Amino acid sequence: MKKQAVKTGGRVLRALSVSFSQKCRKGARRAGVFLLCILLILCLCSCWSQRELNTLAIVLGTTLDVGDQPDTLTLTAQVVKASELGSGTTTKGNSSGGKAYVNVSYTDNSVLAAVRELTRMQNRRLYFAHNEVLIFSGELAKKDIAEGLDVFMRDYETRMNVNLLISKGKASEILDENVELEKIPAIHISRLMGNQKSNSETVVVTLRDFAIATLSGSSAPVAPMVELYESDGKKYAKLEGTAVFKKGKMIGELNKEQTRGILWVTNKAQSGEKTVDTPWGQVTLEVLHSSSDLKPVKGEDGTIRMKLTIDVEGAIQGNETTENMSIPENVAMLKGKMKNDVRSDVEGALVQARTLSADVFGFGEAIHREYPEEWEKMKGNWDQEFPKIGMDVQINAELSSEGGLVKPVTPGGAQ
Amino acid sequence: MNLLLVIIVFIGIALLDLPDMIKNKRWRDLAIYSVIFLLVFVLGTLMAFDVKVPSPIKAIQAFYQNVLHLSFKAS
Amino acid sequence: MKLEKGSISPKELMFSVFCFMQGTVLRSGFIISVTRQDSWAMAITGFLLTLPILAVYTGLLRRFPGKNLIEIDDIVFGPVFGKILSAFYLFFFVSLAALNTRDLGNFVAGYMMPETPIAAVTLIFLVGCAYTLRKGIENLMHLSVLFSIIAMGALAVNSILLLKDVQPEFLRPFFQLKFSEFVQGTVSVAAVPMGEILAFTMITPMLGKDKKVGKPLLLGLALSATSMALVIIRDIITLGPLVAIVSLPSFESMRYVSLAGILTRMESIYAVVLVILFLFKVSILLYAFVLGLTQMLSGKSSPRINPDPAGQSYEAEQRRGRRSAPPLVLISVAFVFFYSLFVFESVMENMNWGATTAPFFSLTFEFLLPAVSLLVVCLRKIDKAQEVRA
Repeated sequence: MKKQAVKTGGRVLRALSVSFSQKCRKGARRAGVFLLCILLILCLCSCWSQRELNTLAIVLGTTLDVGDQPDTLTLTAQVVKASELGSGTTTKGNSSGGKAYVNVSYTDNSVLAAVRELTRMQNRRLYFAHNEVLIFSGELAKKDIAEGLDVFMRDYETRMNVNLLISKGKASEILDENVELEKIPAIHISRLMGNQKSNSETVVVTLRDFAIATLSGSSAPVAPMVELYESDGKKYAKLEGTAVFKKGKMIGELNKEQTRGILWVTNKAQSGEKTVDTPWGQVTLEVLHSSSDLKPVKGEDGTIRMKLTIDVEGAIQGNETTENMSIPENVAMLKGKMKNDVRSDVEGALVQARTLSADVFGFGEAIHREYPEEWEKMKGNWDQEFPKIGMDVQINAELSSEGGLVKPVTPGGAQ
Repeated sequence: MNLLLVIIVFIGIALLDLPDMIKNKRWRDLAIYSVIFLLVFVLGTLMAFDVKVPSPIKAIQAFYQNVLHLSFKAS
Repeated sequence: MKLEKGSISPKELMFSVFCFMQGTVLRSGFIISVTRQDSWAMAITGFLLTLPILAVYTGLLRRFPGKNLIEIDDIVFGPVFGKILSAFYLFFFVSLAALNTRDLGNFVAGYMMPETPIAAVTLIFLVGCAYTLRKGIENLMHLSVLFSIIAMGALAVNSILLLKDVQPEFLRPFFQLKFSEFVQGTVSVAAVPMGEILAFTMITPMLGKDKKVGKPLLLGLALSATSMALVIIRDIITLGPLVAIVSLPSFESMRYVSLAGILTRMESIYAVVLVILFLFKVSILLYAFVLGLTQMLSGKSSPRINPDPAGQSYEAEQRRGRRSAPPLVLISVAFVFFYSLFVFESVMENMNWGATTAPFFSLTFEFLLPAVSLLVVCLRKIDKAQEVRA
């Protein structure tokens, strides 16, 4: 036991003496490590590019308008006021009950120049990473949309999944709409876009989608349009129709039904509602699911036609008539009516697209993918070729459910 | 400011590297080390004074493109 | 002694190759602008083109087991000409290290911290590399499995989150390439990320003499080629034609992740993974440079004074060089730091270099010089007997 203790003691001593002789070197190393730590502390927290929350003006929506001088544009950024935002339903608190946002605006030669210029008027730096909507005014879109696109795609702070919209009238006014359920107009519009699945009457377009369509060369990019309407002296924003672009400029519009047509063709329609007229009155059908498939088919004579197959599944949602719509004959009739309705949407859109000579459906891309050799021949004069492309529409409609009622609620229906 | 940083860093490097060589009396290593050390130090000083040092990579690029004609087209 | 020799396992070497490659895979998009929707196929053809290059390396390494590239040069070409050749290799390694450091600096300064000067970013990064080298590169190699799992996990998570936004039809039409574009894409992929495996010829002696070097390198390359193809496919089906015009396709497609408004802003994961992988890559390149330089400068003609009594043998010295980092580490790192600052003035120059000249520059060192070495070996019939004497 004792021996053991002596042994370990000796070992400790020896280790100590060794460490003593190495003390000098260890000291240097320790100093080095210490310096390194200081360096890391200075740099790892990235103080250099620090951006504290209270020095940022978080932008939630941006609009671009034509400026009053030639070749200028007006940037309006909607900045959230955090102090107003947090107050919830209580009106006491610190909140003065005012708006939860501020719109800042400047007119300059370019977007970035306007952003820089705004730093002279605002104590906080505009921070675009949380930008949710980007609205171009129709007037600007008709002149040139490229500049705004480039800046918002190129900058590292902005994102490509912002919603892109075109306004009828001045874009900056859209961000001044009266919002009732939300606190910030930009959030209202952004959530509005997220809610468009249920009616299938608006194209939902992000910056990425728009840029992809722009790059394609044959496709005509589309973007939803937003406009203001007045009710009780207050202005509210609503989505209405679709803007069609060609060569970086807005060249026309599609109305609600034609927009629905585009969505049917491009497989973006999801649900919606159709009211059909029957000999007895109106019946409302709900589209539960739908999917479509667009394929170019080469005919025997070498011409390419588009073949569109749409599968629609619906349900009887409302019956204003006194007639029992659940009997097979009526179901078949409703199916037929639904088919016709879808077909007229699609054809309306096709007519408008041909009139504008704008390939809003992506026919060109589909042909490019399926028949690359033919496409090489066609792409040179696609503007002339596109209106000549025929389309066969095949619609399969299904009515799968009748809702909670087997028969309509009719006076005396119990007998 | 930059020069100061460069000098501090190089003193630090010397402090970390030299003791081992001196203690083991590796004089040949030390000589080689000093030459390299001085070369890099001069380079650092030049950079600190914002002198434009020509990039060897750019010279090589010119050589491959203009003399050997080996280069792809930039897309 | 034999046990100490094999300080890394073949599996670790394989994953090291993967990590080494993956950084460049995630970082660069230069061939996508040329070969567009068919770029994913370039990963495969590029891999096939790398196979003969790899065969040259294994041919050399098998003839001189336990030796690295610089030592092989000395044996094959003699002390004078071999040293000149080695100097070329060293220039290549140090240039690659500087270019990659610059690349990472450009990324961090460009996308993450725009106000930070690039020197501050690269300095911290290189301090990390220097620390790795002083602690011994084998520790980093042991971690390669972990890093690979992190990198693959991040890739998988990001790809799954993107699933709802992808459009597979962007991949069509298939193979719409001109022959020149096909050659350019294949050669670029083979030379720039894959051929850089040359740096591993400085590391393979750590495997030990009796282990085969070809298999882990090949498997590592195959793994990288697969992941490269997957990454490119993901980028294409997410970004479509945009993929050809954005500067960082992988970064942009990760930025697009937005799931239920909660799972967004994934690019920080990408950035962390990228920094780890670049640390790995630059450390290995630096190690290759420092080891080669040390061996070149110490030489056999005037051996270093060695405290090891038995240690005049080449092997012992080599092991020492690996175990305790050579004193040239810090000064080399300092050199790479300055080199990375003046190598290019702008990202545009860097991109232009990567797209036009880099493949040929790399192939000179990755294929031409080793192939000449192998040819000389075969012609002069330098075999193992001579090598043992040497």
